[in-house]
Amino acid sequence: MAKPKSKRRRRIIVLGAIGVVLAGLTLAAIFRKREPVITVQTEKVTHRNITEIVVANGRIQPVLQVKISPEVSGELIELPVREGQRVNKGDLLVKIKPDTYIANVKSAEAQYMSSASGKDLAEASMKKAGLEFKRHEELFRGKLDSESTFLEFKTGYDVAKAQFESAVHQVDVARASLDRAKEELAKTTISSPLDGTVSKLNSRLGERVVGTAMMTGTEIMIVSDLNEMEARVDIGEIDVVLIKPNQKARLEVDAFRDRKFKGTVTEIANSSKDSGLGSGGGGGGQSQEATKFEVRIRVDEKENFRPGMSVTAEIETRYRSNVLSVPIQSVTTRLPREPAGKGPNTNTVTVAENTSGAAMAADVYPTSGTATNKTDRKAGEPPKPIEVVFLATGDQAKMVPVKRGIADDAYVEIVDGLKEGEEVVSGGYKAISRELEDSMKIKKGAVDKDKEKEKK
Amino acid sequence: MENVPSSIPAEEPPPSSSLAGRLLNVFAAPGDVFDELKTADSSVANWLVPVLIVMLVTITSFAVTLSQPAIKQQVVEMQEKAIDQQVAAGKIKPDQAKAFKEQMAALPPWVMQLFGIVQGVVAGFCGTFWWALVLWLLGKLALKSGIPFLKALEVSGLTMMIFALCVVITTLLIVILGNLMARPALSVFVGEFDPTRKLHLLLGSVNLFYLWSTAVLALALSRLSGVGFGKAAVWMFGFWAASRVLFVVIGLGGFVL
Repeated sequence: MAKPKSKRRRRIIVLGAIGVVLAGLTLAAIFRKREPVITVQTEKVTHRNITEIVVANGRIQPVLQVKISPEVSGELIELPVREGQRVNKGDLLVKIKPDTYIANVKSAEAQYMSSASGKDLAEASMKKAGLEFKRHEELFRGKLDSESTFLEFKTGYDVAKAQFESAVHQVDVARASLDRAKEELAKTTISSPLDGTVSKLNSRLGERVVGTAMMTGTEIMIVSDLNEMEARVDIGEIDVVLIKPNQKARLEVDAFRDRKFKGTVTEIANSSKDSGLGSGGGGGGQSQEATKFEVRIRVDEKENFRPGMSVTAEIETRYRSNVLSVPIQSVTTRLPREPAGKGPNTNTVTVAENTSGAAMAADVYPTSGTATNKTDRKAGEPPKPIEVVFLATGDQAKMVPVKRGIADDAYVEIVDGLKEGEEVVSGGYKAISRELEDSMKIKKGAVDKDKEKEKK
Repeated sequence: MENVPSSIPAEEPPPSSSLAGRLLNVFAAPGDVFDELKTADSSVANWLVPVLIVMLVTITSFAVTLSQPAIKQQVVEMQEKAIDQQVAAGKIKPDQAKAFKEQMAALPPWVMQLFGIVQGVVAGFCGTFWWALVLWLLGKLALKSGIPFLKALEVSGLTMMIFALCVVITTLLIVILGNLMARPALSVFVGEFDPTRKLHLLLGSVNLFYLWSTAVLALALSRLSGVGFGKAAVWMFGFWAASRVLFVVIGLGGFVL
């Protein structure tokens, strides 16, 4: 009888223990605070030197380049250069068939000779009329000639004088025509206006080119001085105000992947690239593209650049040394929460007075949008997002409004809101931009290098 | 484990118990249950009911676990990490990885539930038949005693009740600790469990309930084959340890947790 009893006791103990464990765990599971834990990476707030850069894309172009277009039309009979060939100033570039222009010169010469003869004839006529007028004038004074005869010769002399003057002008016209014909003939030969390289050759021998003195003719070729190159980059209107002449720039040319070239800003366009275009419609419509300004950056180093190569320029606009900074991705935006009773969220607004006197809302919630620190707004106006960072305090995230200064590609200056040594959340991207809220539980995890690289 | 004689006299058959009694006694007095099974006629209920219980518990566990936002987030992070590792290994391209992640994010909840049901069915049926096969083979090849497969199946099925308890305890631990990798195993001493590390997997496989059920299976092997518990335990635990190590080494560490 003892054996079954002990077995029963053992069963009761084992099953009871299992029951107690299950009940305990179940209660613990029920009363446990349910809250997602977000894995984040953190970094300390430290002093750094920050150089603000403006990044822009564009193309490499020669500082000096000349488009060769003819001023006279005709067939190309000589084209002694190839694309890429070096030429010196005065070297023959193009010869247009001159036959027509030679004929024009000859015609103009003949015209000139004819008008010169006409002038001589008119001069002779004028002299003859002058002599006859003098003789009849003396006879008329001696009352030996009638007044009507005197007047007839006087008029004849005046006419002969006028004809002579006309003939003189005819000679001038003919001379001008001859000069023009000679000039056109001279323009059938085009020489290089500079020492450089034929960077582009559009026409072929035998082709007909069109040219007038009034408008651009066929662009036969481009001659460039490849010793002096510059990057012509487009910069948006927000950033262009930061650009000033003589600022330094780092240039990355796609063709030279592993190198960075130094450059200096030389010119900043005064007008945007699309200014004046599309405004004549009268409808007031604006281009959908961002307004861009061309900035020229002289390349300080010599390399085998070719016109048109793609370039990315990083222009150093501002520099601050030893300033408090955090990773650029740590700064995000959140909307300030509505005051109690004004919306579904009943949290009160906490407004902290920062050291510089500017008010900063400390109670905020996630959103997307552009950043601003203003919190004073008119009634009915939607709240504007403010810039915040999340501090890692133990296993919790604490949201802190900040005022940012300049930034480089990795770090941003914090003017107000943080102290050196504080630990800010620096990743992951999704956590900072969307998930994190004030007082949320966080867990420090390893940096996912692949993700970080991809993000950068 | 209790010390029992290697054979039971045929003239003193143990009193038969109900199915519910057997399902509960396998926790407290497994030797009695197996003594009873050895002499009793085979019954499908002895293995089918525990299998159904395991299935039900596994599916419920899956639903409860995935109802936790923190766990759901960990699942997503693990999936994304696995995809990123594939990218790093050059097996898939970053664009494909991005597409996979988007597809995963767009998956409706019923897909995960379906996965839980499949896992429940697999855990119940496959686990039972697998350990029955192991028992049968060890009895036949190692201990040279003819254990009927149906008896091995019944033993394996009843032992799955311990696995069902393991699933319940594990689920509660996961919910309490908010950690998908929480187990009643040596891995509890690892600060940050990394399922890609072999040592962590081996520690995770040393699970209190797996040891318990292996001991119970060893007892069953001893009773059914008529050899001493020590000998049966050496074979059973030897197989268990070897299979754990093998699974971890060949990269199927997920099966040992």
